[in-house]
Amino acid sequence: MSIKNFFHKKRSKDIAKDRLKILLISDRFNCSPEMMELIKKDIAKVLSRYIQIEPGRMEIEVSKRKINVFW
Amino acid sequence: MSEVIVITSGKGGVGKTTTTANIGTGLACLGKKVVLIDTDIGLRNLDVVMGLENRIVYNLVDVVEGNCRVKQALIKDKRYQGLYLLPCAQTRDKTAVNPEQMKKLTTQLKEQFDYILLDCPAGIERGFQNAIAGADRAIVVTTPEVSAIRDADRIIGLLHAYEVGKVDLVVNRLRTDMIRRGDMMSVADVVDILSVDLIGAVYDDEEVVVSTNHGEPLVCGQSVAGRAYMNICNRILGEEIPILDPEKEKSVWFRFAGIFQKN
Repeated sequence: MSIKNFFHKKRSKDIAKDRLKILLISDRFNCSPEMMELIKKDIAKVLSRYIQIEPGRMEIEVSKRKINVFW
Repeated sequence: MSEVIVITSGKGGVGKTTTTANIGTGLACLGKKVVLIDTDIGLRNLDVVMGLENRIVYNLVDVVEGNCRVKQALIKDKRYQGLYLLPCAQTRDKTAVNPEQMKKLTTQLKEQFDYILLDCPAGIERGFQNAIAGADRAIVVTTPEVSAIRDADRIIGLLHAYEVGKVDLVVNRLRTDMIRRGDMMSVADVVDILSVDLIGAVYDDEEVVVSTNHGEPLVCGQSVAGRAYMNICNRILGEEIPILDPEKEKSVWFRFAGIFQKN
């Protein structure tokens, strides 16, 4: 990898990984990425009622066995 | 104790048949009694990959329909002690067999063989359901590509839903040069995404094509892919062998140069 690439371009395998992560979540739960976004917003809304969170910084991790929410 | 293993992938063309042929032959080389069953009715290929296409008399559908006994349909591979192939019909379709019949057949074969390997067709329809019906464990084959990984994830989900006991992953056709420059997902990346146990990593090797041309599995040879397949066989037998990584197997010159670098 050239130095130019290192600073400017995202490696194609990282693009593939990022795309797959979103794709597999929607495949596993049989819902579209837009719907996932809505679910995420709702979770943020509910949580913000009880604890202080920044919705923009909240991350939801979904695997086959569990769902983790980080903020 | 006998084991029924299904080799599946979801997506076509990722190397299921090659993997089945090589794992089966490898297990036979290690002294096990093995039968390979081609379940891709209508699109059979395991026979050509094994180089046994000229010896087919009866097939899987004949056995299931009772036109012959199981023993009559089994083709003995003369090159390897204890290796047999049960080919499938070419002129029928997947509905010629149902999951109950497959379950019965594999149970029957368990009495005679140590390992029953099922080469699953692509897709998740009837052919897939037939293949996994009697399986104790599954080996999911994928390549480091978005489409193959997506299908593998779906297959893994289905295997869990059908309660197939153990699911292991083989990542096929890895390319060191592309991984190094960041244009291909590494074994670790794929395992991270699919979160499933890894049983083998097979790096892209021209010898695979050559061996298919000859109809001779390469598992008993010294090629990179051949050794990777043999490692998978030993892992199936329960041995703990580290995953082969050509990156780490540096040339003699490299090691030599390394000595000086340390000083």
